[in-house]
Amino acid sequence: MPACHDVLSEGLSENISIFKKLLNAGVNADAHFRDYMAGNVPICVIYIEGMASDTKINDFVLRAVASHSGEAMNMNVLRNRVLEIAQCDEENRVGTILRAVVTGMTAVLMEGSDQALLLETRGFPTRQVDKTTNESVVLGSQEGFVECLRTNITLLRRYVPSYQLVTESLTVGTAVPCQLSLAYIDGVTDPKIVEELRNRVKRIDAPSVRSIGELMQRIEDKPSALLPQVLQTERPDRAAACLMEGQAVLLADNSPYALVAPVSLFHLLHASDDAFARWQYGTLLRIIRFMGMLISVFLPGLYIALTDYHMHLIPMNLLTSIAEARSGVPFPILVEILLMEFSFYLINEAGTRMPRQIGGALGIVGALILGQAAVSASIISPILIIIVALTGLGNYAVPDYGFGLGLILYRLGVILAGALFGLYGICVAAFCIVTALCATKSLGKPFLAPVAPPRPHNPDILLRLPPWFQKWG
Amino acid sequence: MNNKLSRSAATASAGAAVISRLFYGLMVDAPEVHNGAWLSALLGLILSLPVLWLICRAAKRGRRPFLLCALLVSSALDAAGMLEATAFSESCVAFNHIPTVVLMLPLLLAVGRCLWLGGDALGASARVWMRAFVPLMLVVILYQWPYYRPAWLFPALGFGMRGVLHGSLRAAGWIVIIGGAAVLLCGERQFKRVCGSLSIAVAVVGLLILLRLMMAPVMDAAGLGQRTQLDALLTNGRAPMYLQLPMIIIYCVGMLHLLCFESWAASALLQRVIPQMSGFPAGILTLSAVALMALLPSTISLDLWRLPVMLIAALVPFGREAAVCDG
Repeated sequence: MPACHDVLSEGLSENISIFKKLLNAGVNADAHFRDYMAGNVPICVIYIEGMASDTKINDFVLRAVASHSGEAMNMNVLRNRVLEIAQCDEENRVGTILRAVVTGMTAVLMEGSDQALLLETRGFPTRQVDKTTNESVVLGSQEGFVECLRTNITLLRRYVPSYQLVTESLTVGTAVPCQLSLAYIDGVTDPKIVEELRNRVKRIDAPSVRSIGELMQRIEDKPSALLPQVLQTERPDRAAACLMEGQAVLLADNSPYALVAPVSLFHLLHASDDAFARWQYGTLLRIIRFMGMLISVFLPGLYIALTDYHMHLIPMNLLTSIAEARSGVPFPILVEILLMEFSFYLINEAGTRMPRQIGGALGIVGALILGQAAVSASIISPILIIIVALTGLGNYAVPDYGFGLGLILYRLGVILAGALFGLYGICVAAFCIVTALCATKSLGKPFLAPVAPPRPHNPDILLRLPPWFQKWG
Repeated sequence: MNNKLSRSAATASAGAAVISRLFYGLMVDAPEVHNGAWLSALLGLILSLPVLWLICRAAKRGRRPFLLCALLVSSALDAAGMLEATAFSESCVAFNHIPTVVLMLPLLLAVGRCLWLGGDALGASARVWMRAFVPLMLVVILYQWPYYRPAWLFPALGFGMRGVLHGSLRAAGWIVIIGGAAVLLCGERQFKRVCGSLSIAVAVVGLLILLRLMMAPVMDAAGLGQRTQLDALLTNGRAPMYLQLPMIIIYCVGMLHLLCFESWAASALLQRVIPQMSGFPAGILTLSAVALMALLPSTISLDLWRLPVMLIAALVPFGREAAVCDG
């Protein structure tokens, strides 16, 4: 059985039989082997139907070969004088040729040559560049990444039209390779960051990496941490802004997201709107998001702690309202909160999975049944709906989806701490969370930098100062 | 467990720990100082700086093992005391129906977590805390402003100079324990930076003490117990009730930083004393020792403020010898 590490021989029929065996020709209906004559030298064109463009093969390969006359044919002449195609590389390793063919390139073998020509003939269908689905903004670019790696690299190059932008090609997956592109700005990005990211990708020893989410967890410093240490964005303008700040970007084929590293907690709170709007409003938005994050994590726990253990801290009028609102509720506050949290995220999850045609009904179900009816039946108190609603809004105010998911888990911990030990428990929980964040690193850089440890930085962390104060890199 | 401490972590941790230790010690543990507490804090700093300098000199000239052991024991004992004090404080706030031992469990979990995460994480956390501390304190000060009575600052020496001097010796001891551990763990070259941080911390403590003193008049020292003092501090009946929320947060988090720093310092010093011991067993030993000592009756544990005095006594002859060599 031929192996992928073999090299080509000079016999055309031998080479063809190798590829026929590896591509399961005869069974695999997509793999095509087109025998042709280049002058009086037999050649074979190998391609996968659907992945390679028939038009390009017909027009720039077969027609070009057919119309050639004159000098004797060999691989050199074929490559330099005959084929009318922009990208044309020579390769003799079977494995490399195979990988190129299955991704849409065309291989041309020739009798008497131990090299194959790999021609860029990709023509598979891809999604058009469209609006982003998860990172909408009011002001700013509306383009998002797509599944095609080449398109994503092109988008990045449009936003960073600099000769210093470098896009290195990498591959992960020993059995099913996935093409990656490591982008950075030479002279701006710290070479150590690029080296570290490159090494982490090369260290991945998995047979396949199915998604960029899996890739992210494989390159993070602490995959077991609740918060992501790499930013995942579907916006090319955001990825470009990160490149210009000295971060590195990783793109993967078949993933409409880019990974940006290293990042800090504060980067996960930034959005593209902040740069497009006036700096005063950008700063206000960031403060609102920061407060939203704190409300999302601490509000339910504080509510339990104050109502169960520290009632004397609540102003009398509010305490009376809470007591009246809870008067008919049979459950303890902890059960109420957990019930509401569960319901909220059940609606969330159902809304995500539900077919679009019946998705509209979910809003009515969620609002009427789980909200009003539950209050009318005294299953939960009205004030808890406000608390859970504010908590949910605070959670969704955070731009990064992975960050928002991590906050949910922190919130559950704070709720339990508040239920068990009141304010004391919340203080201990908050202390543990902050210390854990201080110990977290992103590509070796502290996650809470430049606040802790203090570092010189661009005035664009929590407060966004005017653009003329911003620095390049 | 990482037993290294960077300069920025050392200055932040030591500063946060000193603020909490001095405030708790002078306001709750030493009620006889009362109005003179701010003066005790300042005098304590003045007394402690030469001792810290001597510790640095002695460490450079071969007395390191002795210093490490002394500071290790002091840190562990003080951490045990603070563990018990913090748990007891919580019982005053809302949990007087829960045994103090049970209230210690979340603290031990937090300490164990910090031992695992290392000194740099703790230092970074202290730095974040300092940033949150300032706005919280401003909120407390602004809302309590109508209730402050400057007249209650007098008599300025409280119950007398003897009490002030007693308090300053204790304050010096606490500063030496925390500052000495920070200097030995981050390197003697950072002595000036650590001392600068300690000085700022003492200035902050002085201000906090003055504000606290303006909230309640001088009372008879004989009637002041730990519980009364904690009640007055955390459940101040004069100011609006909701203000106790930021005060409880400031107190709890401050004490947590103190407890975790001292415990971590004890564990790191243990690793320096026994280099063959790795982080995990050192952390387990320290945590167990601190928990055990916290559970022991207070008559058995040492009165900590005497240890730095012994340290000074041990170092002074050496200090004279160093001066002769230099001279």
